[in-house]
Amino acid sequence: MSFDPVVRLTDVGRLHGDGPGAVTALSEVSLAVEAGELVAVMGPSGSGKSTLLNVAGGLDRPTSGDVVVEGVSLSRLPAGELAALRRRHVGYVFQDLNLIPSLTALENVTLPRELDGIRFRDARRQALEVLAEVGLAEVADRFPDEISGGQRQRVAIARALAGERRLILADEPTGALDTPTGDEILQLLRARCDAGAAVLLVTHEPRYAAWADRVVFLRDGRVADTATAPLESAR
Amino acid sequence: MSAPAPVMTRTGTTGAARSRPAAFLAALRISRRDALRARGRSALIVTMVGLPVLVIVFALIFAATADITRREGLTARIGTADLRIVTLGRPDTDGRASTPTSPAEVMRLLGPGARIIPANEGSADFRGERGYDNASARELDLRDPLTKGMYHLLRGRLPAAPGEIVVTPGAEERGMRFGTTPAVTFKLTPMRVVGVVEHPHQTKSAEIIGLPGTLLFDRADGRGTGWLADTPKPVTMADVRRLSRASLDVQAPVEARDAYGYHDTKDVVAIGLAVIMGVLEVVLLAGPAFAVGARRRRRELALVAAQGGSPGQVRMVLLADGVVLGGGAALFGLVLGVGLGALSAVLEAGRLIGGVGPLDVPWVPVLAVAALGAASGVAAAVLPAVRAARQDVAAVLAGRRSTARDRAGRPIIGAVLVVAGAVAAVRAIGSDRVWVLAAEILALLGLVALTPSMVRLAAAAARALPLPLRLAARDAARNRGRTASAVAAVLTAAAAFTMAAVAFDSALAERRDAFHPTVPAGTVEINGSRLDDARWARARTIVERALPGAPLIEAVALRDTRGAAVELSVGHLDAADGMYLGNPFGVSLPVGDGRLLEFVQGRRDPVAAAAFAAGRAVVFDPRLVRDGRLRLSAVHFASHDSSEAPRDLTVPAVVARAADPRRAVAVLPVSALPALGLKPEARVLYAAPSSVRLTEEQEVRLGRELAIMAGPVGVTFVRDLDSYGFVKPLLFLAAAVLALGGTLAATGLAAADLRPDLATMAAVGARPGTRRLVVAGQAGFIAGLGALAGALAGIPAGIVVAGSSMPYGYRAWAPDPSSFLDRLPPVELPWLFLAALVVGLPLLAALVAGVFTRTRVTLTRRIT
Repeated sequence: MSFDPVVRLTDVGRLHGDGPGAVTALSEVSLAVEAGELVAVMGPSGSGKSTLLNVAGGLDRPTSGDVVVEGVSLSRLPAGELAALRRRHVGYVFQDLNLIPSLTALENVTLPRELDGIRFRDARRQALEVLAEVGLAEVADRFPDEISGGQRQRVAIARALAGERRLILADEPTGALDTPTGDEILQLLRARCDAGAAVLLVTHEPRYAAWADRVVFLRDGRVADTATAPLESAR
Repeated sequence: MSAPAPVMTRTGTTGAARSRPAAFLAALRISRRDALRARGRSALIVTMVGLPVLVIVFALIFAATADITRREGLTARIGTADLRIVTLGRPDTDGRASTPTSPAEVMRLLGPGARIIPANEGSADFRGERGYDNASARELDLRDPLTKGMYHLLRGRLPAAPGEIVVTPGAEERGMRFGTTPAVTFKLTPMRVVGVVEHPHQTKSAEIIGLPGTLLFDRADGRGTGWLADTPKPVTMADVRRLSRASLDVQAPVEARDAYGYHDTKDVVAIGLAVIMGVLEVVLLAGPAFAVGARRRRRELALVAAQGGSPGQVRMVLLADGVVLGGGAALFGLVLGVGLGALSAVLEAGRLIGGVGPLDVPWVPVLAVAALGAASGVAAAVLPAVRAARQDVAAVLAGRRSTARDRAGRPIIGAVLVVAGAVAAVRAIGSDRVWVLAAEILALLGLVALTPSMVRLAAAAARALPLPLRLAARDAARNRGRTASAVAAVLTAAAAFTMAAVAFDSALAERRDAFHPTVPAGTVEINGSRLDDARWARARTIVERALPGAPLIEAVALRDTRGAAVELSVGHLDAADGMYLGNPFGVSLPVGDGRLLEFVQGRRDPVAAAAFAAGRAVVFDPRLVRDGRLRLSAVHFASHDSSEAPRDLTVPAVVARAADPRRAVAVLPVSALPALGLKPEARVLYAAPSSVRLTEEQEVRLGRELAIMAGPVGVTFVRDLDSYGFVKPLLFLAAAVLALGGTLAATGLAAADLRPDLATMAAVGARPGTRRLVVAGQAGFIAGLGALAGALAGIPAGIVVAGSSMPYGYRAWAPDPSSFLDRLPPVELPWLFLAALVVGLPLLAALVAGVFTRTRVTLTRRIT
């Protein structure tokens, strides 16, 4: 485990709109996820879970506070450098429709690397390695609509890990899957964590939160509670 | 708060080589695959970009192939000879022809060892199966090997005796059939058509070829006499110059260089304007189609952004769409255009326009057109790409609407361009029309920049409309970026075609006003004022035979006391504005009896007839009569080709109403002539339009027969002006196709964006019809605003173009042709065209959109 957390949020606030109509999505949220750690975020609808994930990866900017990813503060980064940081250090996994339908599984995984200027030949080698690690080497040349939902999520996880990336921001990655497949995805995320990745997982299912090292509860945009090693028995 | 972290320093490289094209290649891959997945949309864009490329490339190749260059046409002109010499008949300063006209003189110039054969050209009259006609004629012994390649023998054999000729299929069509014996030339010598030959390039030409000395008798001045020559040494440029100095035109391989096209500034500007208009229309039309693609792939683009794609890279993905589809379309147009061009050359499609040549692909313009097509495709993708890069990634990923706002365009730049273009257009009126058009396109670009503001204003004005239309207008205005491009496409097409229609109608009106015949349309006037009695009697017989059963109205030609022919015309200079009233271009004033009056007036008028019988002129335009008198001007023809200065005269006159005032000016009674010092001579016949229906070919033949049989007879066919009725429907059709294309692409996009709103409407109980109306309203809004603004812009533009292109007449007679604004040319607005454009087209667009809209409610995920 490294000394610095992979992602650190300090007093992060996110306000939508201004004046009396302003809506608080996040308020004074502080959170750090270290390498090898899986942190689950739970909370009711509208509690700010997805906003937290967007802010943590630089897809959205906080209106107050600071986010630091791999030692780099995001608050003053211009859009171009923010994008560069995402393709080198952050991987997103969404509930569904994660993959670009016109690209094969392999090409979806190479995409962030290619966007980063890596030649397809080199990116392909790395991507095949990661796909093999998630057990999908045999579907590398298939298109997203030719593989199962679980396989699609695993490809998305492989993409999130391609290159040097070790921060996975997963927003309900099991939401569109059946239970056994969902379990497989969580197992995979846990395994990647144990291999050194940092995972911030948004879920509303306690059985998946049970895989986490820590669970953060959000309510009305604030951290309401934090539990370590919860629901051990549910695994 | 923790200490500020260092600004990003880690690059995260893994040692792999980085290259900028990698990201672009990835973008190209996505675009290529997406183009194949969304086949309908791809086909639409490829058609929009590729079809114009195909048509222009094919037209360029077809024209270049049918156009025979000097080098290509050399064999047809000189056969296998070393050179061809034609005497120019240019007189030298003392009036004597200095050009060598005898074979001996030419042989002296060519030097020893040369062989020459006569090759003369001119034209010959003939009487074929269908009467008198005229064709190009050549005297040439086609049996001589020097003539090989000048004609292909299709049927029969070549002439071998003085009484034999061969003809081309064009001449055969005009009555010189193979095997017949038509009478040729003014001597009407019977000559036998022994064969049919074809010119290698001009397949429609009408030609007669006979042996030297048998056809052409009109070479008194030496013009058209020529020889084909076989020289011992190849002809050099020095030889060509030496022969040219002797007034000989020389055609030889050494001088048959293809002239390189010379373009002056006006041509370059005209080409530039055509390019700007073409690219602008393609960009505006294909823009919404690209925007549809970007809208459908919003989540995909958001994913690219989430995976670290910078805004520039997201833009690149959509620009790659432009490269793939624009480039693909251009390539498709290029390959198909060149292929069709080659095919048409192989099939000799040039025969359709009478020009057959070897395949000629003008590669520079052809490739330039393809490159422009590809560039238009990329340019069309620019705005959708910029908008897509601005979308709110988090919102799109969460399934919410992107809150990125469309910008308001560039209203100030637009307004400045419109004003500058309009002022420049009016100022350019005195100069060439191309500068007027350039200024107008500048103003049009300004209007395009103003479109987003127009959309906003129009939507504000939609407050009073019923709900579905109001919703459509509001939605259009909220998504200005999407709407403005389509409105601009419609506007551009509507403005361009309205301008053309207004200019066309005004030019027609100008021609109509300038042409004011003195007798009803359809009349045939036979004027034999130069004939003696015997020849006039012969001419009359020919006319009576050619127009069987037609009542002929007698009128008189005029002579002065010295016996010189005189022509009268009417006219006054209007005191108020110095305008010439009357007709400078019509047929001369009819002079005759009461029957002639009734014929010209087109009705029975006892009052006018009484005045006419009393020796007064009957005038059908009150402006021509001052103080009861009509002013005439007389032209005295002292001999056939010189005339004396006009002499102004007046006669007592009454004003009457003609059945068709546009086809009548005045009639003068014979009894008024003595007072003018003129004598009548019965030498004019009018055949009434109701009794005579001659085709143009019959008219030509009648004129030729009279000329050959009787002598110089003026035969005038008074026709109604051709109104070119097909032009405006064609203009409307073109405008409609472009406008509907742009409108429907944008409406499809709007319908997709409107889906949540339509679902909400369904949830609160709106009927399917109402939802349909919203989408129809979108189409109506886009087409209506574009067509209205385009028509309003096109009308003044058309008036300015009309003012700058008055062919003659109006400007020639205005005291100061440059004072355009003081004196507008006749402006005629094509009301039906405008109504169809401004009212019909939007309704049609709305109808099509409404009929083809899916009104089934799609449950839309709404997460906020």
